[in-house]
Amino acid sequence: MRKTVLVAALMAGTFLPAVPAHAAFADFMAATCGANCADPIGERSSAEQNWQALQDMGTTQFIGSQLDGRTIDVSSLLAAARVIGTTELDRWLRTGNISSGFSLDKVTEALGVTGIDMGLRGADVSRVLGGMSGIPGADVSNVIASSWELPGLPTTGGGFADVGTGGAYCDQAVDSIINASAQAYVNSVVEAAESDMGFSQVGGMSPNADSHSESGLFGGSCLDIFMTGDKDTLFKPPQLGQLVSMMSQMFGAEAQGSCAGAPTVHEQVAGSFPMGAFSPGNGGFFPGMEYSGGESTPSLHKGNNYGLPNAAPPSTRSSGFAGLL
Amino acid sequence: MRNKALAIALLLTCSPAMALPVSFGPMAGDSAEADIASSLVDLPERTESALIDLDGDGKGEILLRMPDDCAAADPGSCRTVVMRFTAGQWRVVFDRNVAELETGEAGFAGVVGLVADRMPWEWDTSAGRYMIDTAAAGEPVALSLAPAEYVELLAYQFGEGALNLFRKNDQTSVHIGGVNLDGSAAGQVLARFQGPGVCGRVMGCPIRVLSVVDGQYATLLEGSGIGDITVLPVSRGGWSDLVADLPGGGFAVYGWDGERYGVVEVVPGVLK
Repeated sequence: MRKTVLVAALMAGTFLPAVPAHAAFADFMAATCGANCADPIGERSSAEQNWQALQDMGTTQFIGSQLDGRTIDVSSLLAAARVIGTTELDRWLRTGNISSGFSLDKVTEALGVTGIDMGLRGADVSRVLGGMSGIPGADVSNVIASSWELPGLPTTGGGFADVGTGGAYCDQAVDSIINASAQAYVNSVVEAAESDMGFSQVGGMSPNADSHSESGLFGGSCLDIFMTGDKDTLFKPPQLGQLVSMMSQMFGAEAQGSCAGAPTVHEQVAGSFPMGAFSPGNGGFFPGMEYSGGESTPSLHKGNNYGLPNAAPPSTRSSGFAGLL
Repeated sequence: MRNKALAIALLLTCSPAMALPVSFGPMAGDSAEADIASSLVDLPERTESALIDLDGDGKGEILLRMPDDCAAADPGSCRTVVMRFTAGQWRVVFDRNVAELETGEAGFAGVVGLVADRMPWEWDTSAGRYMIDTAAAGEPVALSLAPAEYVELLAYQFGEGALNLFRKNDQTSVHIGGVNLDGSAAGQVLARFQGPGVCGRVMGCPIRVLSVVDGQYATLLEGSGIGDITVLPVSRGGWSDLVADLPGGGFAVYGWDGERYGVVEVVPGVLK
């Protein structure tokens, strides 16, 4: 009898999530699918798969980012992925492009599912997933570290290390600022403004990625820190004074969060701002505005602006569908 | 009890379903159907009704049309609701803006289908309501696994993250099918990316319609769906509409806007 109980206990420990995990996921499911969700098993399985996919794509790096005045956390990211899937969510966060206004409304609503206790306790990230939903492959230490406690931040320019390997998260962002994140962001806003029927993507994505916006919702991982207020459709150009002040807070001696411990980044950037872009007469960034050598010699990154490793685009060019179908 | 009594009352007045346009008439505020309808939906001052036995059980279903609750872009497309007495109570089993509503053929479980703006809706027993029959609405696109030599390029059309995920997870895949939406010789490719974590439980899996422009893919449609994706027999500017199933019995209709496809309508499924 005791043996039976022991076996049952072991099996429970092996196959069933801990009680707090169950409770946490129940909260998540209630917030996304409803208290009487029709397919709780499917919801759980889907959340597990979504989390793995978000990790694989590096989308989890957006945890801790601010969007529309809300902080993206594990629960909001998963809730948004539940709506449109992980790849479409990743694309939206990176480029600002989404297939329809309906999807945008739903995702925005889902991002409001924040603050559900997923077991996050400071840097003890091992509890993030174990405490959330029993999601396998629960090593998210890199994700959290790169968002909140970036160790070993390199301050030299040049190549960008991968996020998750002690990479150059903020350095990438700074580089993006120096180059063209802001302009790209404005471009994306213009694209969105010019779109109709509730979607913003114009044209497709060619293999050399020249035909779509690169800027994303954040326009650069650390750049979003510079953007005061909500980043809704109305873009408010940052003022130089604000930028300098915020840079000081961000990179200076009192720096906190993901950019702490990187005072030299401040020094690195201080002398290299494209001051012309902040001339009072212009009042901020404008599309087509010349800086860093003007449009004829653009220095725009063709990759993303978040320090994520770019996917190497397939080199194959399509010559038609004859061989495809 | 009250509903049962009203149902019996309706039994005496309903007409059998025929494959005909539904003829609505003014609904009296003190009628039995008004009593039932007002318990389930907010009725505007002007509401028209019809009583038709859609399921052949001898009890009349309540069909409502609200001429004061119409689509801004299409004043002729007004809210139309069907209520059916099942499992001991009245339920809303159809609710959308419709310009023309007809009864169709008897379908599953003997329940007569509806044809709303030429789109067939069939009774779905598991969902307990009418669902659009996208496959019957036009020509479903046959999808098959994309050839290996093209699959990365196709995955990239779904975004950088999709390509990353494809390279990391061999359970992800791209399915494609040939379509000819504009009658051109070249035609287009419809592609759907799928795999663990790829598809949303609300919007389904990402889909694209691609054409080749100057040797590169151009995306004509960005959308999502599961199950059937159907080319409809209606077109805009020479380009056929598409409809894609969504999880939970919903659907999304895509139409040509002159440059590319956009969402014409989304009816989300019932997931809760």
